[in-house]
Amino acid sequence: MDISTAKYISDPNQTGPRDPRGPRLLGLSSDSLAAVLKSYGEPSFRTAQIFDWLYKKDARSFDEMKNIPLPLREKLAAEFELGREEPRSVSESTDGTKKYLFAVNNAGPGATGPRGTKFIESAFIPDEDRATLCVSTQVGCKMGCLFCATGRQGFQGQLDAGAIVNQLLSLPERSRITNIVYMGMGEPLDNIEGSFGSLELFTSPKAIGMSSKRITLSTIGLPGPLKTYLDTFDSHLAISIHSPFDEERASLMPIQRTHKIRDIIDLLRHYHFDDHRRLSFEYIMFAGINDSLEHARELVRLVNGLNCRVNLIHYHSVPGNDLQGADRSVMESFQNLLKEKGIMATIRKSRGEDIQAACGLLSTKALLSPDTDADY
Amino acid sequence: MVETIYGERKSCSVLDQQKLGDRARLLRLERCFDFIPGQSLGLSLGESLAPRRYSIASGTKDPWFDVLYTLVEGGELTPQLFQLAAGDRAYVFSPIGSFFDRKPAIASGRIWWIANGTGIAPFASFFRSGRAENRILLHGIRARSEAYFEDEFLREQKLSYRSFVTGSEEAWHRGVRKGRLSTWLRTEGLEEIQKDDYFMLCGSAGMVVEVREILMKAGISHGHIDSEIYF
Repeated sequence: MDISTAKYISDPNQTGPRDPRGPRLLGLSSDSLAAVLKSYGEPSFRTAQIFDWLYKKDARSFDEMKNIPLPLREKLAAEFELGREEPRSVSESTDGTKKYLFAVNNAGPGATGPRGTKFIESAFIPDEDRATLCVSTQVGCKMGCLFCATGRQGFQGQLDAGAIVNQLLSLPERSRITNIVYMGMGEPLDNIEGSFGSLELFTSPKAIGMSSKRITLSTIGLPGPLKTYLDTFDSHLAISIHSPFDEERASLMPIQRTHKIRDIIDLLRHYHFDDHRRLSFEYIMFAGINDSLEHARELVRLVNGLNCRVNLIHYHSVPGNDLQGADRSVMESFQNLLKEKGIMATIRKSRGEDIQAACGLLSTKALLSPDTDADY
Repeated sequence: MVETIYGERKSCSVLDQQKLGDRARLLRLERCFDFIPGQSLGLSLGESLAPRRYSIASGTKDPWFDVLYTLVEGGELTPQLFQLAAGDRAYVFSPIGSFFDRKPAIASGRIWWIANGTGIAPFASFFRSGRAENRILLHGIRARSEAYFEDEFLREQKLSYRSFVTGSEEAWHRGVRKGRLSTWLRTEGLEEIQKDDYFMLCGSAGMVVEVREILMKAGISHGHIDSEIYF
């Protein structure tokens, strides 16, 4: 990949972080917005009108909401920030993938580390017959997976539903998006308020109105929130597995020490998966570690009986660990064995590697201020 | 429904709650399950509420569970845990986890226990269950009030115990170092680390990730580093 041809574009008109005057309107659920409007003495149809402006008509200010009475617009403007945030910069790959940088001023409860503006990244991935937006759900991540650049920056805060849907609404290519994947920065099930709130807005006909069949949530597997996701939504599910062996998985993903992959798989066996709601397992392949045919055979045993597919992913090296990616020929042998045993397996095309947008490469660590209150 | 996902649940008595500084507590509960040191238990105060998990800090011979925790402002559980007193009851969910103190067959060196804040808890459980020899315990803290279980650790000569305090207090005993644990590891620590050593890290994601990188840069294989992250 020719890194020198990757383009970095930033908007010179962007100023410093904007101080929010109040909570964000974008991201409120329909019920929450209705409660606010009811407290103002407004009729119930205002909720649908405002939702229309926020999610379908792309309003970027209260002034644009022409069918909302001026007094109400002024009251909302006084008490809420609309919540739209344009990207601060974009990097473009030679393969057409774009990585957008967004500022998030309200990192929500549980934020640690220094205060001030924080940043997240999203990836726009165009293809022949689709265009996918990869959204982030947290600033950083707490899970500390060895191979992931986001994990290297630790955790700086949660994204609320508004900050998650904003990644779509403020995307210049918004009208081209056919699919959304929750595979960006953060563990979605460690932020159920933001993740589930945004899922509802993405799929609600009153808001963005995407088909749930066009959305995939990817997770390392937290049992309680996973069950809630499966009971509440019918979007697709991807589980990060990366090794079928417990101790080896623990060395790559500390979460294994608390929630074993076998327990997650036992939970999944209580649910039905098909083309309507697909189940996939993500498997990054590391040379000399998890790429043997013995691993493939054990993986087959582990997922036996589940209607699922396995996505084999080329590893993109990040600093700070001793991992290397497996050779393509090794990946193909692994794939062939899975297929022989009846498991649908694909080798995922690597996109955006030259701009650090590929799987496991999103990170805003370089933009963090030093944590002066650290205890280590 | 809650019980199915989170394991068996029992209603257990609170035996005691000890104040450790303004924001930390050691909650002592009736021991109602068997456990392996390094495991965590679930705690909840409502029948339909999902539990929060906490490392068990007591040892296998203790007839109680000790849970070390800090107050999370606006949190769902800790403000209520703070109010508990002897005689109250809490729901305890069966211990889970596999963060065990065991040297793999390939490692012939020492075991380093590295923690920050309340991440010391599983190491306290190992220690109280009889592990100390060939163990080096490093604890990153902000202030003396966070030097949990210090008296116990200092009484055992077989354990090499050091705390690293980032706040303004001066060292209060020989084992206290001023400054960041991570800084020490990058410098003097590298001279002590041996290739066959095994490392167990417990605490915040930031600490685990940073220390893990320091160790791997020093030539320690990721297979010799075991981590539990508090999330």
